[in-house]
Amino acid sequence: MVAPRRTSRPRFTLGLIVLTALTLITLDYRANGGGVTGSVRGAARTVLSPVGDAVGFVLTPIGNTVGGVLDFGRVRNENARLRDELARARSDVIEAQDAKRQLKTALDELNLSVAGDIPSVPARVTGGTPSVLQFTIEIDKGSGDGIARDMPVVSGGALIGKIVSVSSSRSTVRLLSDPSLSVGVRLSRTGDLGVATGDGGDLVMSLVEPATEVRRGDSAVTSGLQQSEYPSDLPVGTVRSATHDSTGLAQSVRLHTVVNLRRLSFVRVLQWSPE
Amino acid sequence: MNEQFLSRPVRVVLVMLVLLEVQLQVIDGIRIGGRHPLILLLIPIGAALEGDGSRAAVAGFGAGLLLDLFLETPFGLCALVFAIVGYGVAAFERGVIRADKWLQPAVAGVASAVGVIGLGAAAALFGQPEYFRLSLISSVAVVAVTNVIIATPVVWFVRWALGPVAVQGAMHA
Repeated sequence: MVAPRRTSRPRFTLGLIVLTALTLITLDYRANGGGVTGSVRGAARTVLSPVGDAVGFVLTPIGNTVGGVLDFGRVRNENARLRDELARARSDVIEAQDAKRQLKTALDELNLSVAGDIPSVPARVTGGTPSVLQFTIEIDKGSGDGIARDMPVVSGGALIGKIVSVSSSRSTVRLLSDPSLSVGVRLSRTGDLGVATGDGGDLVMSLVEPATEVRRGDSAVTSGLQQSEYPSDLPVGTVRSATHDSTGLAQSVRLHTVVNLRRLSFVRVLQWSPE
Repeated sequence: MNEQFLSRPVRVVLVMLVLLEVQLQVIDGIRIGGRHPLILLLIPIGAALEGDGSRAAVAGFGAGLLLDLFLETPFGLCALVFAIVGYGVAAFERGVIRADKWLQPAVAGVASAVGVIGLGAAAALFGQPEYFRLSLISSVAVVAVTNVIIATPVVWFVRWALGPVAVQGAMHA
C-alpha cells in the first residue's frame, strides 16, 4: 500500500505568490496610490458598493447592536460628559457670537476667509475600512460630487481627517487618529504651534515649548500656516494632558479630538486646497 | 451541506464575498478599545488546518488581495502576509502537531496574532513605519481573541468552500 501524499508543491506556490505580491506592491508604490492598482481599487469599490449597501442595510443593525453592548459603559460615561459640556457650550455660544462678529469684521478688512465660507459637500459615512493598522472611514460621495484627494473633512465644524482616495461614487477619509496623519495645530489660549499626530485614539502634539503653561481643556485649532494642508482655525481637539519629554526641552501634549471619531454618521468635505 | 451543491470556484468566491461583507458591514462596527476583529484572516488559517500549504497560501493570497482593495496600505501587502500565514500554519500543522478540533481555535488565535504583527512589520518594511508601534498590541489582542471565539464556524465554512484535500497515491491504496 502506498501512503497518500499531498499533490501540491507548497514552497513553489508560496514563492510564486510572494513574487506576485511583491510585484503588486512595487507597482502600487511607483504609482503612489494611483495607476493601475488605484484604478482597480476604485473600480472594485464602485462595483461592490451596491452589494455593500444592500448587505449593510440588513447587517449593520446587528453590528451596531453588538458594538453598542460592548461599548455600553463607555457610552454612558461619554453621555454624562457630553451633557456637562453642552451646558458649558451654551454659555460659551453667547460670548462666541460677539467674538465671531468681531472676527468677521477683522477678516473682511484683511480679505481672508474662514472655514464657514468654504464650499463643502455633505456626505454620509457608509462604514469603516477593514484595516487593523489604519483608521479610516468610507463616505458615499466621490469624484462625481466634486471631491478630490487631500480635501479636509469636518464634522460639526471640527476637523476629522482628509480624503486619501476617491472613486466615482465613494471616498476614503483618513481620520486624525491614524498614526500616518499629521496636522499643524495651534493652542488657542497660548498661541503655541506644533504638529499633532494620531496614535490610534488621541492625538499627540509634540515640540511644545517647555515653559508654556498648558492647561487641561485648552483647545487646539489648525494653524493654517503657509503650505498647510488645512484651512486655519478649524477645531481639532482639547488638551487632555501634557508631559515634559525626557530631555526637558519640549512638552508632549495629548489632545482629545473634538468629535468622537468612532461614531461618525455625517460629515462635510471642504472643497479646499492649499494655496 | 452538500459539497456538490455548487462547484468549488463558486463556493470559494461566495465564501470570500460573504466574509468580506460581514467584515465590512458588521465586524467594522464592533470596536473593542477602538480596535476591531479581522475575520478574513481565518480564511488562510482555515485552509491551512487541512495541512495543505499550497492551498492555504493561495487562499490567503486571494483573501488578502480582496482585503487590499478596501485599504490604503500598499496593494498586495495583505495578500503577501495572509499567504505566508496560511503557509506557515499548514507547515506547523503538518510538521509539529495534528491540530485536534479542540486545539484549532487556539492555533487560529496564535496565527491571527502573528498575522497582525506581520501586517504591521510588512507595512513598516514597505515605507509605513508609523504602523509598527506599541499600540499595535491592542489590535493583536482583539483579533487573536475574537478569532479564537469565532474560529470553529468560520473554519468550517472555509473548509466547505475548499472541499477535501486532493491526495496522490490514494488510488494505489
